[in-house]
Amino acid sequence: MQTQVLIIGGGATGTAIARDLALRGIQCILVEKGDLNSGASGGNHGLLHSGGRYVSNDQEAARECKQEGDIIKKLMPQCIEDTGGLFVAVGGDDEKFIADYPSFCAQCGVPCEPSTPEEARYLEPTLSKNVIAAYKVEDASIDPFRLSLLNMSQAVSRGSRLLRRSRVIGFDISGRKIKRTLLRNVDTAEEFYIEAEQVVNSTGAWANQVCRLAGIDIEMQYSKGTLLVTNDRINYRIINRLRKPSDADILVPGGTVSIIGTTSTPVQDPDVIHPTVEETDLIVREGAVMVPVLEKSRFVRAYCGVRPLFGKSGGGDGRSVSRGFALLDHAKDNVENFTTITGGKLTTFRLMAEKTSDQVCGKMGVSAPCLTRTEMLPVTDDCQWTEPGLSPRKWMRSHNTDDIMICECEMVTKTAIDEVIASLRHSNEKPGLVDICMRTRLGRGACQGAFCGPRALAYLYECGEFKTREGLADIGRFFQERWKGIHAILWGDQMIQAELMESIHCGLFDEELYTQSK
Amino acid sequence: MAKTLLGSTFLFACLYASLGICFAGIMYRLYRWFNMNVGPAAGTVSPSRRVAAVLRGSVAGFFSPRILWLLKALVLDIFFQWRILKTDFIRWLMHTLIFFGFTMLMLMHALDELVTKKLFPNYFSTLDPFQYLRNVFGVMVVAGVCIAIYRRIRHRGPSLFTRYPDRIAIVLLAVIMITGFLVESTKILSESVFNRMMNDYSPAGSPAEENALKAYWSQEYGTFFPQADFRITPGLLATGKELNEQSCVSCHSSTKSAFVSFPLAMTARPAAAAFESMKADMMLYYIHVLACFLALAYLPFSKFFHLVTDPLSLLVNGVSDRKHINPASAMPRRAMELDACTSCGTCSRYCSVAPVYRIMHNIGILPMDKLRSVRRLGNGKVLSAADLAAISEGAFICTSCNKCTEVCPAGINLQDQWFAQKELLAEKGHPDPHRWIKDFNATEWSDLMRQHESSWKEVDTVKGRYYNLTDDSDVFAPCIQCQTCTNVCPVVAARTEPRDAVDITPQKIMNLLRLGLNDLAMGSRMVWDCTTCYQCQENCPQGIKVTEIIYELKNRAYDHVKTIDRTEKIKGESC
Amino acid sequence: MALPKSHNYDSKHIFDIMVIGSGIAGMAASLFAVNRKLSTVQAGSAGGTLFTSGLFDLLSVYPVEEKKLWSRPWDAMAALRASGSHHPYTRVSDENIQRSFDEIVSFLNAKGMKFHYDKNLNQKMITSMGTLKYSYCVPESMWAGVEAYEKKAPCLIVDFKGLKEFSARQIAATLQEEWPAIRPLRVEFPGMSGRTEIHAVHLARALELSATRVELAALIKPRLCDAVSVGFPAVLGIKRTQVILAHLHQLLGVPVFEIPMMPASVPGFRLKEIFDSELPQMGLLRLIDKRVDSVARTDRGNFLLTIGGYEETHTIQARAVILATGRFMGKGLLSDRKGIYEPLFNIPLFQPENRMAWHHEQFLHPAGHPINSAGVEVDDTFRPVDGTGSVIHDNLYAAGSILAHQDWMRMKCGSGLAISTAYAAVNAAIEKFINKQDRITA
Repeated sequence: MQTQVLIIGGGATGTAIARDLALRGIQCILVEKGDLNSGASGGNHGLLHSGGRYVSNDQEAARECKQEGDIIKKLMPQCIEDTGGLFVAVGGDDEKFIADYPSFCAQCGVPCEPSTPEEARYLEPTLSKNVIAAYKVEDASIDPFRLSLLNMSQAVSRGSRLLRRSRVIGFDISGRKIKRTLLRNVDTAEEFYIEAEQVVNSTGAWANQVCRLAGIDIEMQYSKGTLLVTNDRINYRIINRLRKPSDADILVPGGTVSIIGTTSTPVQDPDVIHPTVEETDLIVREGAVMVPVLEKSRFVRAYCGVRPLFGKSGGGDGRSVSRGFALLDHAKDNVENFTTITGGKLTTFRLMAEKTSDQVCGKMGVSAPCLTRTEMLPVTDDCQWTEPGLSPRKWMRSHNTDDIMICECEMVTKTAIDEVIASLRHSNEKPGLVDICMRTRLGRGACQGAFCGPRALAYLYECGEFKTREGLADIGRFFQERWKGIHAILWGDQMIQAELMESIHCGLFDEELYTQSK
Repeated sequence: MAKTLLGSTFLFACLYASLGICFAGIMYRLYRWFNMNVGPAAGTVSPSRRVAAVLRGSVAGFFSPRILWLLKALVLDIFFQWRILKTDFIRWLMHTLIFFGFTMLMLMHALDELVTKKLFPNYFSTLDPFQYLRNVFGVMVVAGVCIAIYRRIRHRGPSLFTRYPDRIAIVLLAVIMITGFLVESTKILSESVFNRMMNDYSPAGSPAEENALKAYWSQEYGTFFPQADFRITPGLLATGKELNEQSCVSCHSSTKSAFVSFPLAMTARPAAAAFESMKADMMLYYIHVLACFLALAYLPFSKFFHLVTDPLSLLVNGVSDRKHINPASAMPRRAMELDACTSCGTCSRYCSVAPVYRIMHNIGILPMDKLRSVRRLGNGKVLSAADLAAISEGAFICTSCNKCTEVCPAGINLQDQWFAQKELLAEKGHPDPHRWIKDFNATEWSDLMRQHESSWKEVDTVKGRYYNLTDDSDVFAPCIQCQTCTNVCPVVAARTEPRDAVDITPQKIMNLLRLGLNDLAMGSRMVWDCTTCYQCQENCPQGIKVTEIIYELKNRAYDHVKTIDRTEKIKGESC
Repeated sequence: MALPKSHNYDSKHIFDIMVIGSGIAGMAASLFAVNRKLSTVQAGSAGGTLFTSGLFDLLSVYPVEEKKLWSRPWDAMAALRASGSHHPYTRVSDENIQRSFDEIVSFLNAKGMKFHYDKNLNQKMITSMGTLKYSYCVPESMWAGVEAYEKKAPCLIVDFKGLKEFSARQIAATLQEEWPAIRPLRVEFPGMSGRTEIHAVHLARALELSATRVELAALIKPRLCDAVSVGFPAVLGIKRTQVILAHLHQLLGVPVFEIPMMPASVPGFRLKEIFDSELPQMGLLRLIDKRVDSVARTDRGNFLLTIGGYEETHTIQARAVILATGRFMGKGLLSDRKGIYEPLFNIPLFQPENRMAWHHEQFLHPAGHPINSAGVEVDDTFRPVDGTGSVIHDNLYAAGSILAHQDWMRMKCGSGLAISTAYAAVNAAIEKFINKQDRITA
């Protein structure tokens, strides 16, 4: 395979680079070892920072957030829920920090409107009675899945390609250039080469692993952040704790849920992470200080992501390392057509893509300007089914007597699943429950797949997608994917739900006896 | 006879006048029963066909095995008032006291010439046991009236709302009873009554004997002689007693057996002279009798008519077939039942949606007042839009639990009345919301509701109107998606139209609430078709108040949609 | 006429036994108690038995981490006893386990829900997931499926359009290697054509009408071909299953059977209907939809239980209590971030040290999740004991899945555990009454 630019890593940055380059008339292939956003781009709050979070410790980042936030709100409104945000302090928080906050904001040009505890509680009734100060900021929530899918979709419409489940396993380097890149399909183990003029490493936390394949060492740290998803939406605006960044101090509403997080724990390997029981306890305990209802809320999921932090830290939890991004031209490492972009944050993904594309274009001698700063992101139906509540609305509106609801919690319909199957088939991929789950809201609700899993599986057999006993393994994978997200939050109602799930699938159906024995 | 009975042609004329009015009233009632249009197919059945149907039905009922039910109704429900005893002992006591006391007074006392005299040829109203019994029955009625007044004060409220007819009935009854006792008391005291009796029954007495008798009566019977020119000595009394035994006791027992009137007379003795001079006994007698006539004339127009209609209703409903309702005979029955309601409030007390009344303060929710509205609608009264809206709200909030029919002491088939009411409302362009909600589907409703969001806020700001189950995620968050609620739901099971099948099930409602799509939930057919059978709630393993949530959604939706003009076009986005 | 009056529970009446819980264990305990002429009262929500599949498992997997399947349950039992496990089974003899099954099955047989079992064998049957399941005691309605699987005879599996959880194609595809002679058939359920979503219980009620069965058979009969039996989702009626089986057999000319499927399960409704209607006739006071709110004890040691409903509460006095409230779903155990609790009697529980040890990282890990072995520990007469092994109340017994040291979901012993421990607990309670001579025997 040949292409102009090979982009490694299908997160927010990688897909945005693909779009940016496509808009400049450059064709790319984007390769991703898992699925889109399976790294940090999928493992975050979905928060479009106003900058308010960084005004005290990283003024550069704060300014970037403000500028980029404005652009994204304007050009990609379909991915944004412009909720607005609050910074609130509770009794015992640092009084000096509270008093200084407006001036920090002013220094960075981040709009910040003073409020009162009474107003804050009126706006957000779930806030603690113990709130002592509040400021209004311009935070918004963003759907990162939709964002990446739409970016990629536009790139594809201009001739670029996406290869999922393809892992880079080596580079052929000669004459200070990567000649070919060797890849392996993670499902079939089939190996193949891609030849490209330029190679961009936008693998985030995996950037140093990819660099190492090219014989380059870069200094990176990983910080794991864990987040919890509530069963229903408990706030309207984004609620930030008014203090220096710490654990569980942001509560982001998105669609029908709220997400509380995060933690920051140094980890060694970005591939082996999962939310732990200690982290979930910490999040609930800390979050409840700000929003007490979290103490008794039902959580449906815990997930985590790894922040790629470039450079060496002075120790601690990694929050002190800059959240700014790093754009590395590996010409200095004797690989001229190789660029790495890492670090940064979701809010600045577009800027990171712009800078990277500028550099790549510079190397290629392309002078086309960046258009993502001015062009609207087109709206397509590609990934509409991830939007909460859309499926039931469409279902009721169409009143199509042939359409059935396969997932009851999130009300995902047969129509939605059909579309996803068709699009997976279109890119020559075999649809499984995990893929459908990612592209719709199947299994993301309260039952976490116990009921919709078997229904969707039955449907896949009915469509002829499965023809042998492979379905049993597929549903096992699907359950495991869901289990990863719930096993740290199993108490109260979710414990009951998990017991019901196990009593059906183990107690009745004996599915555990069908797993591969070691 | 009439003259001796009533003492004057005036009263005689009054009697006939009131009998005439009473008869005309009954005729009017009967006319209404066969002409009033209540229920489905109202306009299509002529009064003559109704009469025919009723006659046919009565004959058929009389010669069918159901006659046994009739007997049961007669003995248990009418004579022993079994239905009242089952729900409320005090009310049963009150009712029984008045019913038996009054009936006995009527037969034994008011109609003594026609009844008592025929049965007991030596009857005299002043003779025991009649005199004694009269007091007993009188006391029963007075006690009953006292309980009635006490209940109406003590349990004052929506289920026992005292209206004008109730007051008139109680007052009239009280006047009759009190004047009755007073007539007797003043007669006991009265010298002229004594003299009249002397003249009528033992005219040939010597003055000495007369004095002896007077002395005895004054001492023992309480008669007051203002110008007594004798001294009461034991000798005189003994003579008086002897004379009394000879000529009086055969038709006049001791007044002491009038155990109410006698003490009453003794207390009023100081004023006896005044009574005598103003002919109080005659005056009170007139009042007493006129009040009775008034009651007679008023009977067909008042609550007293339940004396006729309640037994009738109990008998008719005792034999009629509730499953196969013939509109021709059902309409007169309904009209008659409307007259049988005494507004006793039992139905309202047992109403399963009575708690809703406490929140919504629409009296039209309670069965007792709903029945009034049926009457008003059936009478063709022109009602204001607000009244109609309130009535229609009351009609659709009913859960058809049938409790009201089960407890009605008059045996009124209330369930069937509600059916009729819905028809009447539909005629007036105010059909049940569950029917007009089908004008649009859930999405269209949700579009309409969102277009009227400003009016929502008004509705939602009414404090304390709901239990806010639908806003509190703790209420529905425990749902584990097991679908038991849907599986036990008779409404889902009964769906036949494929179009309806594409609708929300109870457990989908929990999910819609969690997803914040309350508007879709409110517009869904499920919410409106719910029969509030509580199966879902009873079987929910997580103890979620499924039924109550659906019920609240229905009420909220009703509040929202009633502000919407249904004729306007939907401006929803096309999809 | 049932008046909307409050029931008057006489708080001075002393019941012999109060059973708390209305799952299989609670129902079995109530049955055993009324069979033994004890004056018995039972409380628990109405939906207790609705989650049972209708199969009565005894024991078929042990040790779970080896996924070792046993065709002979008593051999598995012997292995369990020999291993030194504290499983509740080890406190009941094989004979008594067998007796408990015999008693409940003879009751259910007499009330029209027939069961088949071979005293020494586990039966093999297919499920709606296409998996194979070993169970001990199989409803008559599923029996032809056991026989069909054994012979691997040609078999038609029927599913209904709109019944989302059940796909005949899935079953046939999943089982094709071991049982190639199964053939799937999809039909529209009579009277529900055009409906996109249909629900098992509604189908079951519809099948109680013979006209529905005739119509259904007419749809299937022409497609029967060589099939010698027909499998259906478990929807063959609620009250008249025997009649429906026979009628469909007659109409189709081949035996029919049910395949167990997802809850809410129709066989569960069958059990509920039988227990709810029959036990009260046998003298049980069944307080449906009532939960026990709180517990106190009288001076004489009787339990005073406050039963809550929607509007009113009542007090019940009982000489002994059998706690059969189940685990988390039954609300017998509660959990929060810090631990698990028994809410009614506050019985100290055997449980993992902290939440980190509750679950495996793999959902289907063969060893099972440690939290599932947590629960109430008991002595040999099924009285809950505290951490030191001493009895908490001498007249409190526990039965069913609330007991510790068992993982019924992995060992496939749920019903057996419920039935046999209920049996042992009731008998232990009687033993105690007789010894103390303070019970007036009926």
